Amino acid sequence: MGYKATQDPRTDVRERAYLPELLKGLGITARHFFRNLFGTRDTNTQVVDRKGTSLITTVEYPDEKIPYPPGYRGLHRLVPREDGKPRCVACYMCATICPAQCIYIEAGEYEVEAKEGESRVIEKFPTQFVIDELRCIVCGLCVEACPKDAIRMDTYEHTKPEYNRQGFVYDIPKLLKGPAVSHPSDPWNKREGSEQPHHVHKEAHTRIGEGLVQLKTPHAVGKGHEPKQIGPGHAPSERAVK
Amino acid sequence: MSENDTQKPTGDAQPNPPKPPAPAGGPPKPPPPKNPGFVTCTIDGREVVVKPGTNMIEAAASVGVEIPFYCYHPRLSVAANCRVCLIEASNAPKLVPACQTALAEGQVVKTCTPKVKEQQRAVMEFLLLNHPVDCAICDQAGECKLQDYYMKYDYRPSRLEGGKVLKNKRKVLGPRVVLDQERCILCTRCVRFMNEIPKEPQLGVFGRGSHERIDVFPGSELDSNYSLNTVDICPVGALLSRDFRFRARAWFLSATPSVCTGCSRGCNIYADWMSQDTYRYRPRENEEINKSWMCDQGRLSYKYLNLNRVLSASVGRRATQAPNTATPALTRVEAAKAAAQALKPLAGSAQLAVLASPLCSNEDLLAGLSFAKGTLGVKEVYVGGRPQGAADHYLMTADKNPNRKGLELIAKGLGLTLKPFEELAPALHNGRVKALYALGTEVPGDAEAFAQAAARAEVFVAQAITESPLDAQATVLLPASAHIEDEGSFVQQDGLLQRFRKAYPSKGDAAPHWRWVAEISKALGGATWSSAREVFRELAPQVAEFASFNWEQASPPDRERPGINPLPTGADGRPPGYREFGTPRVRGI
Repeated sequence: MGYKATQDPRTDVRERAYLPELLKGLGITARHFFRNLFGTRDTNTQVVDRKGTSLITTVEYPDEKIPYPPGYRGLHRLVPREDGKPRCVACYMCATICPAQCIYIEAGEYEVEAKEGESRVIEKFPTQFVIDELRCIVCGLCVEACPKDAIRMDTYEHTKPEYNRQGFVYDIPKLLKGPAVSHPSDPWNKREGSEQPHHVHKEAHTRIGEGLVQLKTPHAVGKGHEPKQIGPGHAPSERAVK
Repeated sequence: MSENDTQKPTGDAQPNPPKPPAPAGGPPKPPPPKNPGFVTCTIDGREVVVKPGTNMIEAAASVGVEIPFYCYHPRLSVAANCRVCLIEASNAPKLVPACQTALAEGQVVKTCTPKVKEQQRAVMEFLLLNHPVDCAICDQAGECKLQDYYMKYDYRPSRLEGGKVLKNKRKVLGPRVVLDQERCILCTRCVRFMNEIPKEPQLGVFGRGSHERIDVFPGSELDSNYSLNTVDICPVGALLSRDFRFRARAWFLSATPSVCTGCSRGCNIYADWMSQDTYRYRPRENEEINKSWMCDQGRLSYKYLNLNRVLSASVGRRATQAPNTATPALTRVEAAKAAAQALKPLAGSAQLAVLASPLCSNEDLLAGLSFAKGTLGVKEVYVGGRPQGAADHYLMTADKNPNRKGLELIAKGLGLTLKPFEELAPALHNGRVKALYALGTEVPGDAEAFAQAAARAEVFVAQAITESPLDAQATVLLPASAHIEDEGSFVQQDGLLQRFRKAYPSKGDAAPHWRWVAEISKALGGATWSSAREVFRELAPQVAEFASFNWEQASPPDRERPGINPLPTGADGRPPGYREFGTPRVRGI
């Protein structure tokens, strides 16, 4: 709406006179010339927010890099746990979904007597986790397939150049980086080890008073939770007491 | 409508039998059977005629109606404790367990009414209530009935509030089996199996309510030779094989019907493999031999297919060479020519002996022995093979060679004399035998001692599967394929001839025994064959016992009938074995 493109070269007299437009164009060139000569580049501010003299648009690339936009699928990383081990449990979901078949995993098992504390909750771990970044097509399906939030592409950097193909084969030491991630649902946040917990197990209904479990039943007894008095003619609502 | 159809014969038949005078006030007499000697009833509108006593699951399966079940197993006693097979029957007021209930005449069974569907969904919800949904680290994922039935009958989130019951996630039950008590749904299949099939009651159910768990009896362990069958029949990932655990995901494996080579019983198996490696054996149903079971020793006997294989041909005794001597790479034809040149001057002489291993298939032996008889002029064959071992009370036999019977039959058919292995070493020592041609280098005695004897032979042409001290003494060593890498047949100890199929191409430069024989024979101007099928077709007529064997038709089908337990093949939608043969293709590993 509003803009009408035209192929008609005949415009107004000023443009047809040639000289004013020429000078105008020279003025723009001169402005950029002097701006680049005397101006500065404020790298801490977004381009659109820059004012005054810090309006140089040229990016001095090796010294200054434009950050990739949010959601950019960059180089993979294996997400570490709090204890520094990868969250990965070698379930092969990423290797299965990978359309380029660039992920190679070998699974191992922690020894029964391993003194590794949390590691014993999940006894499976990757002994090898290798991504061939040359083969990778950066589709991000591995990130979506991962049930453990163990592989992410949130590094916001692309694959670095290497001198040989071997350098593009990333293994666990190269992939394991970035901030550690922990979820309340992680098994090692729920139990001490893979054996049966030492405390006596109680059924859910016996644990109500301990604050561990809150049953959302309509008849949960407590102050302020008495069942509503139902008048005649009203069907009892299931969620009345919620 | 279907109900009317089945009610009609009962209505017609009611006035017909006047023989017993109906007692007044008694219950109505059952109608006479529509098909005498059989029970006729209707399942989901389809008429079924089955033998009396057949349960509803089997009857429904025969007309293509699938009733879900966990605890039922056709070869075990019925427990009816998983409750997922409850269905509606016309003569019962409530839902009845299909695994436990025999069909009655004129009964109308419905398996997909809303009532049944709600029951199945509710049972699934209960079974999954305390199940730790840790499919990511569960080896059963991909062949788990909980996964299958959840997708089919439940498919909704859990409504459990609060924590799940925590149990022992890694209870090592024995040398070969590990149990995850959290994943267990307490179908007691394993307990019933141990009680009923090997009759070694080592497992039990302990505790009550939410504390209930499968375990071994205190102070004992699950060390039966049949313990790994409990892993097979476990419908969930509770019982797992310690050998296979975490080594491969089920959906990457392809399965090939084959025969176990652990002993002379010849149990039918599926060999699960991926890219030229065999990962496990699973029993394949065969009513005559192994039912649905196999022993642990046979199951773990797959390892020789992967490890310590002879992968390239070599000329010259490696035992006398300095270690790491560079040997020139030989093509198959060059290696066969070297073997032919070594054997040619000895053809027809009494100094040449043939050592045949009962580990070879019938085709290997047919080709090898007819070559030995016809071209080499040998009259006597020494029998090698693995040493005798222990037998057990059920399936495992003492003879650890899968094809001794076949070797005997073929030698008889070809008119060759079989001589015991013990006579070969003295013959080598006193110089009566100066040249040896070995089809397979497994020896029943001490391999080191026999290697010393073989060192005295001037010519020792060996076709070997596995590296051994004996192979190092071979003047010409030819790498041979294992049975999984080619098709063929074995004769098990009771004389049953069984075919097995090819899973993957031979490792390295290995070739089947019969192909090496064909190459050597070709170099000497003898007969030659291009496939195992051709070997059998041309040479089997000399063996009377093989006359009635149809080699092609006896080939086992490469997939199970459609059912509950699918083959782990192409489960991700890709064709089986899509991961190409050879090492994984990520570079630099």
